[in-house]
Amino acid sequence: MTPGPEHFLVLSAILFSLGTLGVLVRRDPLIMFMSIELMLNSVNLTFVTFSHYLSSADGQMFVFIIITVAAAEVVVGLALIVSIFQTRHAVDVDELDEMRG
Amino acid sequence: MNGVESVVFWIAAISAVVSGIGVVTARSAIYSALSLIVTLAQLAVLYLLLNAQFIAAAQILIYAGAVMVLFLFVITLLGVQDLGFMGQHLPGQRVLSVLFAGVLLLGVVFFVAQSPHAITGARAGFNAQLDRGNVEAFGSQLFTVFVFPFEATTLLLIVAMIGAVALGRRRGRQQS
Repeated sequence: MTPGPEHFLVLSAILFSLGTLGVLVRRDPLIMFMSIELMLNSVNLTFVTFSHYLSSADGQMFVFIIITVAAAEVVVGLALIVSIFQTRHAVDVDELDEMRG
Repeated sequence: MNGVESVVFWIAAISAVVSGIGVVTARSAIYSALSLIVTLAQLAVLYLLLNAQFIAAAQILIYAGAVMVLFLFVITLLGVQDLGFMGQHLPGQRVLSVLFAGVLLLGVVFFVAQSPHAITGARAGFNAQLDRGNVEAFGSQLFTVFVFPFEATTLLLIVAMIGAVALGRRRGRQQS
């Protein structure tokens, strides 16, 4: 079966749902973070698909900027997780229910 | 797309979904990260199929090269912790999570299936430029039309760097 745009979009939807499931069901913040990365990447696939089939550069520009933003987000997020781990010595998101550091 | 590209698409798509399931269901964060690297590599293959060579290279370099190395570094720094396989704190969390994700998937697939001919009106602008090479077409767009987002991105990177340094420094001062 020759893949068309709808195949790419459905694949992207599957990956996004898997990322959502990971965020909802896991308790390890690192795995939740990786699920968020999976969701970002599935959206990137959608952008590149539309960029190709619409013959427009906008989608690829969006993806380029999203990749940069995701890298910045990973840096800050991992710094936060390491910072939390150093004070609590166990990282379980369900136990992180205090606002005080 | 010709026959070879179809075969490549199906191989990449199926392995992306399988390794995506691996990201969510892996017991240890290490296996989850390795599965995510496989998913990202398969997405790079799909970008190549879609004539986005620069994005594919950036995907491999930035995600598989930099971001995932940072993830693996933090995982090994913190030590592998076993929180139990999808343990639940809220009652019915697992069932509701699967339900919500399934509803989301069905909803998106429904709307994709509802509009099979929505992608029309191709402007034939960018793909025509691709004969000169994807990087050249990409760069000329990036530094003319998209200059402002590009500059905003540099500001964002500086803010992220300051944030990471501030988070690291505060901890060091408390220890000393």
